[in-house]
Amino acid sequence: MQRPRHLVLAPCLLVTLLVGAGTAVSGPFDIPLLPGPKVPTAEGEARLLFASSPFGVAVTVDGRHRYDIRIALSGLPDPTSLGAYHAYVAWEVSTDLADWHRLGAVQNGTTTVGQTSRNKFLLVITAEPDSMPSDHSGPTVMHGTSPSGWLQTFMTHPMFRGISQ
Amino acid sequence: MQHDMSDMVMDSDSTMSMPIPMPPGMVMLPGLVGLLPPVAPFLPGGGVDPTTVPLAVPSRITPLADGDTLDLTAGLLRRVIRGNSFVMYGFNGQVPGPLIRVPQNATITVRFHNRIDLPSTVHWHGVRLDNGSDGVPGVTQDPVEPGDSFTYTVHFPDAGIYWYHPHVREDIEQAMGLYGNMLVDSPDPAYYSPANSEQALMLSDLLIHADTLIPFGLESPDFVLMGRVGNVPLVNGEPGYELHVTRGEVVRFHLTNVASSRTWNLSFGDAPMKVLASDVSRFEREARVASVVLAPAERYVIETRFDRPGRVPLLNRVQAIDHYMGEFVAHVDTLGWVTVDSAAAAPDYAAAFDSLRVNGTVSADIERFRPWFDKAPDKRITLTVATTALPLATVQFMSIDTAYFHPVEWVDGMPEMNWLSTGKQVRWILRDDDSGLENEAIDWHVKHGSVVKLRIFNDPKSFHPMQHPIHLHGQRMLVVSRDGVATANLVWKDTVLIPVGSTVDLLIDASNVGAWMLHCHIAEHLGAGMMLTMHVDG
Amino acid sequence: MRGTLALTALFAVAAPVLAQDAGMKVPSFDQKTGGSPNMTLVAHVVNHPGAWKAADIEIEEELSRPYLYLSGFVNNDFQIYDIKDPTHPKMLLDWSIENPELHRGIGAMDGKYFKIGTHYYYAQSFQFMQGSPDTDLGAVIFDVTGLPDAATVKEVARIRYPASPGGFHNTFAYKHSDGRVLYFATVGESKAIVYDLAKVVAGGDPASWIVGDVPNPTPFRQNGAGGYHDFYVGYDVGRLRDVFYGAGLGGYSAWDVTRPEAPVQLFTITGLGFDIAHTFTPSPDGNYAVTETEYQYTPLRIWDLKEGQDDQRQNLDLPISAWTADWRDLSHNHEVRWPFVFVSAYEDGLFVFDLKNPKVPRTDGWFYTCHCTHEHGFGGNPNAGWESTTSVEQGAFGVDVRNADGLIVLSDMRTGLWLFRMKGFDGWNGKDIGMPNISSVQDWDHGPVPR
Repeated sequence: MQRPRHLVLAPCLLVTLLVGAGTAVSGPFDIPLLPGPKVPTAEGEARLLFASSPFGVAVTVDGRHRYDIRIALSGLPDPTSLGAYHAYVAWEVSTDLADWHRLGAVQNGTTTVGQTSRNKFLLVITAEPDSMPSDHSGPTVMHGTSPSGWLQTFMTHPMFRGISQ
Repeated sequence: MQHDMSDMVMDSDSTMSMPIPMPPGMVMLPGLVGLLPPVAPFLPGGGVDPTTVPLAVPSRITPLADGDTLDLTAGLLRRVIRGNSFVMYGFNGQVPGPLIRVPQNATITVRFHNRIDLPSTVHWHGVRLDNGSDGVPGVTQDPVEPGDSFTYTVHFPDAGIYWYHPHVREDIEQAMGLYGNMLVDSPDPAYYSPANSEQALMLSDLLIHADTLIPFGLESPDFVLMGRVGNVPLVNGEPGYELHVTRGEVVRFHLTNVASSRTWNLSFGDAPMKVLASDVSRFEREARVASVVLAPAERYVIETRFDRPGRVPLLNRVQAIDHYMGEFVAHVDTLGWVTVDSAAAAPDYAAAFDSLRVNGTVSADIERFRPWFDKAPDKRITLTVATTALPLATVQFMSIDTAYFHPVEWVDGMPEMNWLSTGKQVRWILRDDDSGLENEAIDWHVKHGSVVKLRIFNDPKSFHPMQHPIHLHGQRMLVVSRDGVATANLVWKDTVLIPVGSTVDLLIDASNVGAWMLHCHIAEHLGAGMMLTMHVDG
Repeated sequence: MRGTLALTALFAVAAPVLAQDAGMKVPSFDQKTGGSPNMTLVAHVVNHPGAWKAADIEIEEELSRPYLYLSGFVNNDFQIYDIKDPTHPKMLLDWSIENPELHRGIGAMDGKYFKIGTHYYYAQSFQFMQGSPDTDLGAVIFDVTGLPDAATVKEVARIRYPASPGGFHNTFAYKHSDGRVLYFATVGESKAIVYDLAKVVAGGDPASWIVGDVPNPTPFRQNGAGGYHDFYVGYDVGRLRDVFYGAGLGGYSAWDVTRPEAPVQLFTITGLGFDIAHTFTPSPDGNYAVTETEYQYTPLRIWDLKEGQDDQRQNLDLPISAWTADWRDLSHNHEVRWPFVFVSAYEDGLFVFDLKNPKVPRTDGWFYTCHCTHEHGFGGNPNAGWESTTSVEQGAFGVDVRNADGLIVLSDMRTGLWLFRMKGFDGWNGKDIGMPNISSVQDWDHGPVPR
């Protein structure tokens, strides 16, 4: 049995959420980036690449995978068109939005920014006054979720709602 | 090649209906409760009285010189693990088997005697020896039946740490204790950076419920979906490793993963480590590491300096997945302890330890192969799986579970579901992308002296995506790139971890004539068909 | 297991054929526009520009407080409308969760208003996925006493349930016979959680907000799974008890929650085809019920509950009748104003049928609101930005009825907010038809026990 071909939208099923699979992510290391309201035509994708390691897979001492993040973007307007902004900056963000770690400046094209070792995280690109802000302040222009974000409780899964896909 | 034991005699009153140990908080799927794997149960000894079986002793270092002969006997023995006696296997009464220490370029003779209750062979893992002594039933020899013997000629062209194990039903024989190391000494006394002492650690695990071993499948392996992952980690066959060192002592550890399926992430507390070598050579450059990732059959040589008195744990720290909650959970196994005395080590190798050596001879050797680094792949295979007649609940669960693919499954989150999968229902596949042929139908031929680029893709959209440690017999190879990113610090390998979704390019030095297996070294995957043959034609 | 699934499928197909109203023509899908002659469109508001506009809807009962609340689904917001002039709904407030674009999940799902003392409140439930912010957030509570002045709307509490990520899919605010205002919430566990809303709005230790829980007696419970999807709580005037009517994985179950700290199971409805139980709404006297099961082709089923309510049978498994708007689709939520049943029927918009003869449901009126292409099965992902779906779960999501004057409000996932009136239905009071005056509308000041 193959994985479901589509994400499941089951808004009125038992304790439903979206159930991950197939079309949302093109690979286990890909993060589709969605445009924010200020740049609706922008497109982007990030790819997680194993960080350099002597071993078959790069991990932290407690076993979290270490990835370099490569971001490919297109359709971003000049940041000055959004306000008093001069750069786009990528952030690795904890899922509770409490911790924003600056990865680096990005632009249209492909940029390899910093490294992540979080199990789950959001990847957020904001417009900022400069390329080295200490904290985020500008609007979100692109955003995505780590592939591990598809991990959900059993209760969100079709099987446990009694649905055979 | 032969990897079945369909004609084996089964005489065991062990039961398959025992509960499988589950991770904390994990319960069985309703559709699986009460089901049994469709295989007869098997345990070593067929119910023999354990008190009639000799007690296992620890591995002994067995120095051998060029031309020496060793008698190596696989037999029943008794092991006491956490207070419980189990009838298992061992070589020469030892677990691990004798640590064979030989000088580089030595050739020894090993007279293997099979005194266990299964057919067997001995494979000399990673050693570029003559094909006839490779120990692969159906390819290089017939299985050695119980009571029979076979003589191997083992030549050691490369320095480093290697290991030997059966190549028949590894899921049983290796898991029950048939493994041992071979330490091949370079004539160069400064081959590695200096250390005060050295230790060979063979890491494995054992699946136990209460005081009972979980039986194996007779006709084919069970636990085939992800391989058997034990709940009792073992170092050199024991659940509690102990080492005493002096303060500041630099210990060189030769690490070998002999587990059927488990990949380790090892560290000695926060003691500093550096990695020197892997399967078939040293690295181009020593590297400082926080932990060591060790897939089945891989070896790494590391050095650790214990610079503070006290107790330092040997840890396996990984991220498990709580499938019910959909969350990662930190998982820690304490494999043992290193007790650091307050007396200072002599000599003090701190300065040497703090520096990272560059091994120019390794780079020079590799440099000869660099012209082929960017060549188009000569061979391409995809790693995947086919299943039939699995329980419906398993099929449904797997369709859910694969919504996210962890690149490495460090622990078995659903062992009872895994238990129910056997080689009768699951066929792990190496698929030749060019011919479409699979597993044993693949019969590659390459020229002796050629450099073969092999691209391996681990399909994340398979029924059960998981990592595979791919082992090539009788040759050495380089991992030239992973997912398109060139490897910065090269080392010769014989076993390479392929994470889920990854594409790995290997450069094979086809230097050894013969028919050689390439297979997944997860014992149950191998037992479920995941192997092919590459002929190096002279 | 395979046999069970096969039989379920057979039942699912067979029942709707019988449930289609005799004599009612099923139009071709491209003809699903407009409505029946007795249904008057009062207003339509396209409340969001994107493809997905709304989840559930809630209307306040008092005519002096003409406010309705629209849950914004994946827009992660809710809107408050002033419908003093129902022909021109006026949006007073559009409240979004912080950083709405970074939240992932089906978002703002269900809204319930309630009153404690002199204050009116609104509880907005949310559902966010793991990997998203606020995956533990169940609901946000607002004091809306000061409406229509939107500036006076103030958040007073957030209910989080970290033990089971994924929020509250469905909620029910209930004025209990003991005087408390309770809030029943689904969670990703095999139970519904019961909150004391007076304690919630008072703040303090969130652990003290929970009164108890109502188990779901599903076989999946052994997994810690198999929760409720939806429920209704009503006072049974004849039997003098507060009754929880739960629908969830495994079927339907009724519980005496007169003491919500210790619910007592009354009876269940289980059987082939009912295992994906969605909604369970009783008649005012608790003797009948309408249930929904959530898969394509399934009809609403009508049940005679008396043997279960009177402890004569532990489990009911044979409905007395069934109804569907269109057997090819799926009907969704419903509000019972006996003998009328108001249905938000996904692709078929608003439908009203009656149970004057419970064994022979009759369609009374309709209005097609979805304006969508017919789909099949389940699928799609609003968070990935698609404009189309592959699911019949589109269109009319929620419906509510103001008893005071019979105003019908409906939320359509595709087209937004709709207001209707149906000729011959000018309001509802159970006493007018010899029934208890019991519906989803609560008497916040006096409670459900007849005075």
